[in-house]
Amino acid sequence: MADFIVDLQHHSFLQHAVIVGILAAIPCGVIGTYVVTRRITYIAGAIAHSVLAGLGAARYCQVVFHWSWLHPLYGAVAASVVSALVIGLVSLFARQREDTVIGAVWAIGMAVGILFISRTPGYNEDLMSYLFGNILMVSSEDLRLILGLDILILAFSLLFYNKLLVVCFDEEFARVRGIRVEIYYLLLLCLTALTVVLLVTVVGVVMVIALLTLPVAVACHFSNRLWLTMVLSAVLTVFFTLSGLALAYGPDLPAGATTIVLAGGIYLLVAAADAFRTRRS
Amino acid sequence: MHDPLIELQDVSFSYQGVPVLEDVDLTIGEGDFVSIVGPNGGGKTTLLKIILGLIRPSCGTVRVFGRPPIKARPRIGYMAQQSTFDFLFPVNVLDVVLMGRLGHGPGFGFYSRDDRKAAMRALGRMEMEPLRNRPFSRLSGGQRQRVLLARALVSDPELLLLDEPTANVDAAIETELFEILNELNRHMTIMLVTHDLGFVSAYVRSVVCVNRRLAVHPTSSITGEMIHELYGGNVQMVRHDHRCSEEGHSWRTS
Repeated sequence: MADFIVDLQHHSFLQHAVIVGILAAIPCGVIGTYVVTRRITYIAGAIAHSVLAGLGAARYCQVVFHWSWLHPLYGAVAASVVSALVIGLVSLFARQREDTVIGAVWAIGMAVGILFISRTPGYNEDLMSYLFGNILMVSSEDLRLILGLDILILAFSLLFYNKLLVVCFDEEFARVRGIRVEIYYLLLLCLTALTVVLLVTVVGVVMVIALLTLPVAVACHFSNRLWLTMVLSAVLTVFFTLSGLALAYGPDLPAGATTIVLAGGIYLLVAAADAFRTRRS
Repeated sequence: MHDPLIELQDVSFSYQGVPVLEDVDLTIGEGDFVSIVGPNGGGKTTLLKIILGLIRPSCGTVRVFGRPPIKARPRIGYMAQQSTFDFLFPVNVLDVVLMGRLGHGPGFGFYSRDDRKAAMRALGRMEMEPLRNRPFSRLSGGQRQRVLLARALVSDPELLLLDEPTANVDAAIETELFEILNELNRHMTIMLVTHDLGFVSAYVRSVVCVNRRLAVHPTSSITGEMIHELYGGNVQMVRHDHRCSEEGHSWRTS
């Protein structure tokens, strides 16, 4: 822990990691609150896993066709938005079982990603960092893209706060008030998709839904308002990400996994304390 | 004679090939206080949703304020069944009432001072102002009904549509709710769905019986045979209304 604070002053890769942690945590708290209260965690999970297809395809094109401008994160953005729209449109308009579609997008996305990665020549060490995250490998180019996504997500979720609230709480009433529910639902899924891309850099594809939901689950114990839940979740996510990073640094543990274990542990403690208190009163 | 406020002609609706409503003709005049009754699955909620434009009928025409239902929505206040809400959702009483102000003003941004004033007025009307900061999840069934009613009223509607406002509340609260509705009925048309026929309030002026087909009665002329016909079994009737009239009772079938 002390090493971390000392090294933070000298190493730019650590400073980048801290900035990314904070930048990813804030929209994570905001969008995570919508995801948890609207109960679309598994849609977020499917989007997260489908991101691998975009990462893999972009990397393949970079290596095979020498499209050096095609950063893997651009591929991630495209894949996440496409899968969000596919799930959204199918669940809104086609009479399919929603969970079947979620499962299909989840697995097909991963499969496509693995195929691309297997066909990409050379040593693909960052496959591991896509899957399990590596906040220490963030470049300054990544940082600019992450900042852009951050601003986009926060701007939309603040501008449409009232509408997204009513669409999540009471879709039918929203429709009666003349709100285009379908459009706002798709907007929410797209914002979720972009948030997922941010989180992939922090904790990786596999653990995104944990970081999206655990801070909100903790915050819900202390808040009865949507905006307050968002603020608390964002603060908690910053805390979890930075503590995870600091705790992992000394013993050289994977930072993403440390963050998730920390968040999960605190969630279980809060839930247990709450259950204990309810039983006593 | 008032202009018709709601007009349905030859409306039918089927869901996945199963007919829910058939050949429905209905005319509701301004200032009426209508109760829709009928057995479960008889099409009461469907009828309400057709009037709101949430469901498009398979055939027939619907006019509300002389316009297609979607265009009429700004003039309609709507209160859904309580059972449809997620009580873990982090909102308080004022948040819920403010939702009724959406659709006014610009497309994005926050609620204006006028919106807040209107929400407080609506809460005041329901005597719920002191509970404005209480989480929606921590209200009793009766309090929730008042909040949802305040939300339906906050946009100053001319037509109020309520789906089972008396479900999950006890008789005392039901009576209280009908007192409020009777007061509101002085300047607004009210149409509500009740879960059974046992029995409509004395304030209700007309009863629409729905069981795939539809029949309209003035409250005073409901008899045991009608209930028998509607429910297909013997149902005991409790009468609250002892005024009787001969006219205005007709089965509408085509």
